[in-house]
Amino acid sequence: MSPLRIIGHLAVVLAVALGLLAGPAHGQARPKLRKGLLTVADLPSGYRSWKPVYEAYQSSTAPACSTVLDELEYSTFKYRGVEYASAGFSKGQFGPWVLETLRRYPTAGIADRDLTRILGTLRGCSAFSLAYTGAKPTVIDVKVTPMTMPKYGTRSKAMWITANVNGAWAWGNVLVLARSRGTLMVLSQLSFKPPTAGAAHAIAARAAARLRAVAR
Amino acid sequence: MSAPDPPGVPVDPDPFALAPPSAARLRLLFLTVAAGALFAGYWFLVLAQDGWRARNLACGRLSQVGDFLDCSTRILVLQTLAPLAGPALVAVLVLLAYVAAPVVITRRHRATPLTGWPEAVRATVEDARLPRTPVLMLSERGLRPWMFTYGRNRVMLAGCVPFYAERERSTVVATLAHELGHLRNKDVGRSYLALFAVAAFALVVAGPPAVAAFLTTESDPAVALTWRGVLVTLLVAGTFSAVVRAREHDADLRARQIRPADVLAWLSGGRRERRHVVRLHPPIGRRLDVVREPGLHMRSSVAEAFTAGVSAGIVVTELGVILQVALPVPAVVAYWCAGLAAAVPICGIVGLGVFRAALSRPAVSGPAFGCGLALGVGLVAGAVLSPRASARWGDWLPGTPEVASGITPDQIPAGTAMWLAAVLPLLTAAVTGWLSLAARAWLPRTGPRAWPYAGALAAVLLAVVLGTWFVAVRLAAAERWTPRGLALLVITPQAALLFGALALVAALSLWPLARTAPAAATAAVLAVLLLAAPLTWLAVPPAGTAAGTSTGSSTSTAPTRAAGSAGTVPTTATPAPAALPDSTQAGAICLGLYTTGVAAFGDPADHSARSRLGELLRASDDSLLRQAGDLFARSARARSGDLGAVAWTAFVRRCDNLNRYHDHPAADPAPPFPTESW
Repeated sequence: MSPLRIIGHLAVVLAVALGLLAGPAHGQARPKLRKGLLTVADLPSGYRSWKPVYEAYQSSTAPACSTVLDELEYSTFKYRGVEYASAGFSKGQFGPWVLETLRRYPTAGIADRDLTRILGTLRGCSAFSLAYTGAKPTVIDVKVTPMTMPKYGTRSKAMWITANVNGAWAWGNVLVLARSRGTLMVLSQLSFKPPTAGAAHAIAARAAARLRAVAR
Repeated sequence: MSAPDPPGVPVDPDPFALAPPSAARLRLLFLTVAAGALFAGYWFLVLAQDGWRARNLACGRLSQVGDFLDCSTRILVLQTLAPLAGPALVAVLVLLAYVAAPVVITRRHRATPLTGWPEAVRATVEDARLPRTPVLMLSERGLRPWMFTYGRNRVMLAGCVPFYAERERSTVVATLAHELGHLRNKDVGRSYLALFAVAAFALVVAGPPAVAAFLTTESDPAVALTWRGVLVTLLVAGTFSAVVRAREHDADLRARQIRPADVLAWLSGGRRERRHVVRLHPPIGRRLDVVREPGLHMRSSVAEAFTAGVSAGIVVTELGVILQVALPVPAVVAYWCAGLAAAVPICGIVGLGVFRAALSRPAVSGPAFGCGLALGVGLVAGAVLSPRASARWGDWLPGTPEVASGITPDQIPAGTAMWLAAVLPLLTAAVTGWLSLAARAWLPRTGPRAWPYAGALAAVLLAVVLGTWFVAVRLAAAERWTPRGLALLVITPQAALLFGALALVAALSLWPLARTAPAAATAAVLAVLLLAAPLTWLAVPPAGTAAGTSTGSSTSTAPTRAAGSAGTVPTTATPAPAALPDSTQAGAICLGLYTTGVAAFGDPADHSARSRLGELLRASDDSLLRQAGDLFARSARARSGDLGAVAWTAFVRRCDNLNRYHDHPAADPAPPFPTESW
């Protein structure tokens, strides 16, 4: 783990600890985080609830990048004091898939600092590879490119992530990171065939609306 | 002229009324060695050569789908025939050793032909009534025992034999009669061939592929291949030693016909035996028991049935893969042919054992069913032990042709695997049980002359059972079929008709039992009806249930999922067509094919499904897949099953080619929004 990454983690842990000591900003009962997640009714017809399965790779040419993406999409690392809620949807066996994770931080400031940390890491992740060994050796070439999408929530960033598997097939992922007050939304729209801009925006906008409802 | 049997020696049953099964046992041993050599040949000539990458790439670059199909067919057939170099190499080595052995043995013993035969030797040779007078050679080396047979017609005698022929006449005569018994049984040459085949198997077939596997792949498949190689080598060597021991009994029984009193005296002499780890001769006490009571040697053996089953399982697995590609017939027919190759020697071993047992104990059928169950269990074990089934080779060696890799039984869903493992022993027990009843029905009327007919029918029954079962295993390893879906796929109405006809012939052949043993006859007819009813149920799917034959699509993306469908278009109702990825990428579409398998084809009667599949393929970024899509669309318009089958073959072959040798990396999909900088 690089020194910068360690410092980043320590900063978030420290901030979360301070936030916990400070307690809720207004002392009000906050809505359940799960209510901020997309539901099947929010998605176009054909989607069903789906539980993603994380498959660990054996090596990465950019461990910081792969770790932060795993952390975002699969919550492989969870900060104490941060509340998590996730949902997954699939439109058939071969997608498209929608993955959403909400993170509720103690304060908006901590959430913003963590988003900054995440984006800072992803900035250096234009291209890297993941390797799976064993019975079916696989190399996945990942590319991360920022995209111009409408703004969702208080602060947001959209990326286009492609994963090319052994050069045989590739899929794309519209990744939207959006913060609304102290809650961060991680929304992934994965598919073999890129979604139209309108369809991707419609799902992201609906997710952002739900985010706002719980981000008090 | 044979001397009369002394008092106390039973005359019946005649152990040679039916041919001893040693020839069939050796034939099965040769087939097992050949099956192992086929895989060794396949390993070195195809798998280790990256599945002929350059040739396959050249096929994939052809612009017309017809040319691509011709090209890929040519490669498949050549890859099927090339492994025959393995058995050919083993055969050459074995034949060279076989031809050289008599010369080497003669020189090693500095042997010269015996001239001036002692009277006892001459009289014994005359009494043996051999078709050709044997050549007696005199060794200059010490021999223990005193003599042995070798070559086609030679007996090597110790230098002291002429001397002892006068002083210990009875012992020399008995020993010589035993050796002449070997010549009379014509088992000498076969035994030498088998010995060299076992040696060649261990040195050429089992060892090198295992070593090469450790050098070229990871440890998992190499270990899987190695332990199978060790077990099969032990099986082959064990079978050989068992055959050699059995032929000693046969030679003793022949010697008893030539010189009964001398043979009994010789075996009763209380000689002390040395202990051996691997016995090539039975204990003297056992030999004496068999000479006194030949019926002991004629009982069917559960252990023998099991080992024969293991060997046959390996043979059908290896041979079936080869014949499926090489023969221009449906897969199940090719597997019936492979089954027949194994069923003939099996009937010569297990079936003949059952028939011979009926000669000595005609009213006992229980052991026959036991042997049938053991045979079935052995066949299941053989399917697992086959070297080709060691691993999904396509997972470890990217160039592996699909046709060679989708047969690992551990890929079969647990429920289907248990069903398959249970049904085969029951069916083989039914065949051996029928054979036992046929022996009871016909032996009293025709004697041993009934055996060739009963054996032939039993071989056909067994071939159909084996072929059907092994093709079902192959399909089950490639697709996630339910037991019923699998049965519907394999037991077509035509196959059910064949089964019914065979069952009817088998039942009718038991008609003499109706008078002599009506209870047994009734039981046999009931058994036939019980077997026929499930076949009828399996062959006629209930109305409106075209779907539901598969357990659904797997989430696995293993590329060999479509292996079972590579040469087989579903001819019966299959599930509604599974959706393939909505993508123009050839790789993604092929991923869908690997995952869904034949479900992507849908019901053969549903031409609109073919039309939709055609539309999907016509939008793909691969020219050959687009042409396959055109073929699907044309087949849907013309409602032509044959054209649909050609389109399916082109689709599967092209995906196989792309998966193994994708020389043009898939392009990344374009972003739906404008990109920006950080």
